[in-house]
Amino acid sequence: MFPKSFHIKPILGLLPYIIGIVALGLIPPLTGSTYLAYLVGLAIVLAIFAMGFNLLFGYTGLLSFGHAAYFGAGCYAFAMLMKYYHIQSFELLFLGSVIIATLTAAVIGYVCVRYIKIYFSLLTLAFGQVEYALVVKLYNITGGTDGIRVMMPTLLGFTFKDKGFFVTWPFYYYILAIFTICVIVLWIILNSHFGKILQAIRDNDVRVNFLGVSERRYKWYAFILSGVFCGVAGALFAPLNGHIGPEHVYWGFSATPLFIALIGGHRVFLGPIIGSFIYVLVRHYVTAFTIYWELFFGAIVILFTLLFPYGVCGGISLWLARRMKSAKTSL
Amino acid sequence: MFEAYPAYILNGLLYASLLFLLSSGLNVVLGVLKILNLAHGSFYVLGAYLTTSFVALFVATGLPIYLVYTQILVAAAVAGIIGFLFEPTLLRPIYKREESYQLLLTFGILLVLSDVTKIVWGLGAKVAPEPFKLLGSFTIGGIPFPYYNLLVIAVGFVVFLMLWFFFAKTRTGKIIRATATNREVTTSLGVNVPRIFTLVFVFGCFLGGLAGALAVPMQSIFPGLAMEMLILSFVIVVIGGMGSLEGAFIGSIIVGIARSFGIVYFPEIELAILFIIMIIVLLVRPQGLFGRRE
Repeated sequence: MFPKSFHIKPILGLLPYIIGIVALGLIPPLTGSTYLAYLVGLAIVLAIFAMGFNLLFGYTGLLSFGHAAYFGAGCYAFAMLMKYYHIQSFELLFLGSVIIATLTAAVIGYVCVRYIKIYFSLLTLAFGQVEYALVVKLYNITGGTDGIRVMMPTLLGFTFKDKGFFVTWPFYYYILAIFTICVIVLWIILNSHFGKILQAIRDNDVRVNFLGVSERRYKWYAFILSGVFCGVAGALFAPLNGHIGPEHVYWGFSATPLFIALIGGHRVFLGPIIGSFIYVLVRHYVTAFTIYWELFFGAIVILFTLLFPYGVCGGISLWLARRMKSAKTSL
Repeated sequence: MFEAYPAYILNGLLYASLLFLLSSGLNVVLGVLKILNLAHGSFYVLGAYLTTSFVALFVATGLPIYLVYTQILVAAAVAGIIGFLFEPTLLRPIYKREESYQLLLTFGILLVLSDVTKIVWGLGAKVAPEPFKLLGSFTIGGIPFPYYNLLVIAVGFVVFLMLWFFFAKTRTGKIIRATATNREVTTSLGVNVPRIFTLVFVFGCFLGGLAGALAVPMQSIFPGLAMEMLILSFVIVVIGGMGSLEGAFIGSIIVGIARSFGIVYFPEIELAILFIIMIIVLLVRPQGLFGRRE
């Protein structure tokens, strides 16, 4: 098992999260920059996406290569509900998109969890590509490769005119609030009996079956929960970005949460969150000087896989644990 | 309507031949190294791009034009050599690690190769029509069918026979099968297992490159093809069974024919048909048609 990082007391353990969220909340009043608010908002949305992905990868031991399918389902559900049903309320759209993303994950997950390891990974990839092919081919309703423009929804009944103001202030805090809820919910899930069973499945699924727990059913539940988080992220992303397209369903986009979880540390709770900020920052600077960011990210994936398999957060907490001579260190 | 069937079947076999070369490469690596090479489709794309460059160079030299077919083999060999760059350096350290790390590593290679092909050959579609034009075509059921495509079908079939002979009858083939069955025992019998692994990986990349090299005279090549081909060859591996040569052969024919008819009758959901076949096989016979239960 992974060492329990450096939580000396539960309250002390919560402190970094509170400081972090307060610090994020201070960004708009301190800088007033729309672009920075957009980037941080994006990092938060991708953090939710990666947290959902990592519920399967880091905690259940299932590596999915098709998570863009559920994120994309959230995005497209949001855009299409708005475009064809003329719903303006963000809350209703959000609810609808999360439900649709969850249902997508439930159906695909039902088939995928029957298979293990590489079969699981490639089946998720295959389903993701089917969804991508559908999005591209049914262009008269999905907009094909052009995608769909997403207008500003109303938040709690208030209408907004200025996109810059919308992203910098009300929607930024909306995202932050949902993010906080997601972090708390995920924390509760992972520390519940349910979460412990998932981690037991990751460590040894045969023994879990011997204990009389249906490993397959729990994997399915984890898959569905993962889909919920992806749907939340997708529904937040659509109005934040203002435009969605098939690239958000494509396999290349499924690599994003994987990359985030890997650099942040997939065995640490904070990993995907830190990883997401690193990702947005690195991508921001890399795309500024080259269009070949895949080459750069591929090299980082190889480097981290070979040398730092526990990511930045895992590496730091291992190092701290060693410094503190924590007795429980065993990898 | 039925007079077009022979042409559809030939098209299906053509497709099956390419898919067999590709998926047998993936399957051999999977069976022996127990690693699913997510970058396998990239070797198909590499083989194809290398062929476009080599054919263009060859035509420029003005050597006898019938020798242009050698360039296909040269391109496949270069793809194999590129595979050789990865195995001892990147793959070897992670054989003992968890499976997800092995997938991650090959995924990283996929990302790198995808951009490398974009840097070297650009984003536009590339073609190498000379080997294709040279042979002309004949008419079957009112539909013209090129002789080059017949050649590709023949190559696929010959490679299948050669692989079967290699694994069943030759000493090296038997050693490779023994390594696939039990690494430790084979090592204790004095076989240099790391060398076998390198050999098999390079061979797998060669087969992937050969498929791409044979395909490029018929169709244009673009970078996004890597993932499409990887998924198709994975579908075949699932249908046929992991590590089974016959499985790859039969699976390729099923997928090739299904796709050929699917494009004609259900063009919108042609890809979905393949996945439906795959899901049916997974539900009825999870180990694949020719696979063994572990």
